[in-house]
Amino acid sequence: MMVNQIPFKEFHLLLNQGLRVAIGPFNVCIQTTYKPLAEQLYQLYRHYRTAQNEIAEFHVRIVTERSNKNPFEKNVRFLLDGQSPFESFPQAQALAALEWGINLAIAVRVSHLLLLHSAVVEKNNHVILFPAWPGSGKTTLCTVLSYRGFRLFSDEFGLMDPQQGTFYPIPRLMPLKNESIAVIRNYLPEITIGKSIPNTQKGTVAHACPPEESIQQSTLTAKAKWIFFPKWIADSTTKIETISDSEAFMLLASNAFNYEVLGAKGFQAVAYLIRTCNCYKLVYSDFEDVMATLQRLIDET
Amino acid sequence: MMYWHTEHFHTLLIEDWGDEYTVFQPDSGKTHFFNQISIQILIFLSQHPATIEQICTVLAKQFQQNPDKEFTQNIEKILHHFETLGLVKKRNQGNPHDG
Repeated sequence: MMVNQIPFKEFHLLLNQGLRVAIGPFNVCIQTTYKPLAEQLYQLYRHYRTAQNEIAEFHVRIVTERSNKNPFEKNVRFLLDGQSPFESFPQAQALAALEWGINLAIAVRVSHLLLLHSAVVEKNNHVILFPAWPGSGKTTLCTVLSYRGFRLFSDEFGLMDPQQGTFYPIPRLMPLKNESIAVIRNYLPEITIGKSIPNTQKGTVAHACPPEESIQQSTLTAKAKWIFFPKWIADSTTKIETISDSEAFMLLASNAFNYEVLGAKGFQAVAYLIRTCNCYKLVYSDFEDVMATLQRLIDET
Repeated sequence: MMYWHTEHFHTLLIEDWGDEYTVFQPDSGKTHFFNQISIQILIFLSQHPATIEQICTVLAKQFQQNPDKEFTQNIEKILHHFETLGLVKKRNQGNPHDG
């Protein structure tokens, strides 16, 4: 059953007890009694499948508590299996805290897959990776691509099975930051974006919904064919530069969250990706221009 | 006479990218990036222990270099770097208690 097939009252009740939703290869159990967060989740998670009778890999909670600084204020705290990995957040940042917390859970708990810090989309049954650290504009680019003919795998995680060489989709809310929020609201006025959440540790954040089709197809894995190391530079024309295999290896290995933990498996997985993918550096600013360039490269190869 | 030899060379995973190599060393869990000359030193030493003079003679011929003082110093630098990584060791071949 999809979230949008449940009346809000029932959804809220499920959240109070622990709502299980399927997000890519994982089921996440989310529990909160904080109603404003329930309202946001009801809007933004509406295309996700519920998994009430299935095992959840991650159990996360958002609880309210009195602020230490101001006893008349309440904060929220993120809990992963009862443990609190972060300081508390202002109540208005509950959704951001939950989404960061789920990312953290994936990053620290998933040890059987190579975890790349990468935006990932699919085209013609092949995955395109955009590995990059924060500030490169990968979430913004990924949001645009996923609503313009590319299937969203993730704006944050490249989840690769090191044995099979396949990537798992994990389409989650895409946290647009600061100037990107207005840029995407103007460029993609038809898409659902949550309320802007100001003054977070990353500035203002607003969460874009993944396309419904990407969520529906989130069990369809694919192998990678292209790797672009992206960099957004204001007013630049789109530039694509081929990079050497050894440089691509170094960039990709240092981009993975768990490369060293996986040891030889991680080394072999990265080597496999470099051998099977075309690797480029990508500089861009204009969405139409970058999409045309990507499409041309995809058609050529 | 001081001889250099590799340590657990057979456990290394080596990926050849043309003129550069990535090497995974299971003992340390580290990945190293090497050029042609570095990898050839390891391959040569994996076949049999050798003195610095023997290494320089073979590599100078292989890479068409003059085995002068500077060349020898550069090879020595690479060997000492490999030693700190645990990829090679040196031993005195004349001493029966060593290796």
